[in-house]
Amino acid sequence: MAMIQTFVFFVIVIIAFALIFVIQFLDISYIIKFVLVLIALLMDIVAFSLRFYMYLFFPLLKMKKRKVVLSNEETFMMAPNGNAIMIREGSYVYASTFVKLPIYKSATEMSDDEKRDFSLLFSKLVSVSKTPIKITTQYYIVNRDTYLNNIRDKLNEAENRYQQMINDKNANPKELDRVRGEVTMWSNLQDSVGRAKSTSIINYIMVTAIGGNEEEAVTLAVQRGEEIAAGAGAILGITTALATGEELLLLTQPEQLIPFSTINEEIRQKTLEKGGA
Amino acid sequence: MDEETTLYIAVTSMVALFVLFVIRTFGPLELVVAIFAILTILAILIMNFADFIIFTAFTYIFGISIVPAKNYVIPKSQNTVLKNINGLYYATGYLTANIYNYAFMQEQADESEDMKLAAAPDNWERIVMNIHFPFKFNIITAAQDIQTYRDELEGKRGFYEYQMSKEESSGNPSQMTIDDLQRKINVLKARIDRLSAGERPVKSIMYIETTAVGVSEKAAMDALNAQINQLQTVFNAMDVSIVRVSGRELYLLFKFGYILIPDMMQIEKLFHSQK
Repeated sequence: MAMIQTFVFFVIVIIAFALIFVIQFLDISYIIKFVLVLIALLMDIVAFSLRFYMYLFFPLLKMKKRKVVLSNEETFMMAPNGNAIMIREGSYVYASTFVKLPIYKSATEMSDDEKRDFSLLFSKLVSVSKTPIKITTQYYIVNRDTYLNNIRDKLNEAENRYQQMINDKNANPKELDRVRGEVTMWSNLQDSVGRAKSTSIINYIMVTAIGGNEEEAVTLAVQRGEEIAAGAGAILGITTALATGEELLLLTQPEQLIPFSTINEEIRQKTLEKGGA
Repeated sequence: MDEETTLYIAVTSMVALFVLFVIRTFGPLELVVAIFAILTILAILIMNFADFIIFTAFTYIFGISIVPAKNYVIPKSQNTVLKNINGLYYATGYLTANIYNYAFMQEQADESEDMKLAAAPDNWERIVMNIHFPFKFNIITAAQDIQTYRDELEGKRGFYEYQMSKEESSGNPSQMTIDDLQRKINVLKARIDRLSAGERPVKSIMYIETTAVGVSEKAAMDALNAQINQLQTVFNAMDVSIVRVSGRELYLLFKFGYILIPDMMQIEKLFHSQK
């Protein structure tokens, strides 16, 4: 990429230089000379912008409907073992592994010395690797889809039973009261669970390796991930492990941070509030 | 500024200077052409020091959006990454948050630093308790070679000491210059002492990422703006300088969610504007 960038830069600069040089000897009107020099200066600015925006240069030339498409592929591919993610860039493959850091300490349970020591341990953690790593603390909303769906199913089932009993003239009044109570219980539970969000924190380290092919990149990334896991585990005194499968989605995909059930529940609550108002 | 950027500035400025050199060619329009040539040099310099302003203005004026991957869009404002999943929009924004710069600006490692370290877990928990939406605090870091870093610091200290003794022995020494040099020496000494105490030098880039959801692009972006404002307020407790990331660096941070460049120097070069 750097070679192409330098080449394109010099080509544009030489064209701009040549244009200005030739203008001097052309017997054309001043207005046309002015337009040509403006084009040369614009090319000059474009040439400099390549220093930062080379990745946009060719996609910008192919732009359609004011949309510059850098990639139309998924953000990553999952490694066959499910312990790494991969991205192909040119002739190289980048693979990343994620080391989970299960830290269950709270400042409320620490003395001042322990707090200071914990901060120092964290300072040591940031210098665990000579090649770049990314240490992340992720605060997210826990996915309670299954839990909420179970409550919803129970509520629907109780409501159906209640409806059937109301239509049944021989229904036992005591049993009817009990089922009505059950409907109220599930409904209240759905309201209270839906209203409050369950949140959680996960800490992890992301490690990337480059390879000529997918297998090489993944092997190197897993190897580096395990090295970092051992180092981080020794510093913090915890048992570390590589994230796999769905855990990787939680650490990389934005929709996993706010699960669908939560959004659904928020919309339901808002609709109810509006209805009540 | 690195050598490559200096070369780019020098070569492109030469084009504009060449226009000034042949300005007589443009007859009655020479003044206008000269103004444009000077504006070109200015644009190059602004682009070098704050390219995110020019780039964001360019995409905003022409309404250009960028598609970094399938289902993702960076809208013309260049400060949000939007993901569309089944009609729901997830807007992600980024904020710079460099804590360590603050620590290294200390003149000496004194007791207040110990107090800061002891207070850090409390501050962090307070922040987490006050935030009710998803966010990530990211540190991209790489340890440096201790000996190289130490030699560099000692070299700098020697240079400042030489400058100070030169200033002191001059006929008319300036107290302000001496104080300034003494302060710089103290900063270097504190850093050398830290290395002696077993700390490893690190290069790091820190940023916060947050995601909001909405039923339309606008709803998601409005929710994201509200979240970012809240994060800026809450993270003040950590003495962090927070700036919302826009432009080219937003795309880089988006990519860093999946892969990292294996060279820290290169990463730092990419982030020179909004560090």
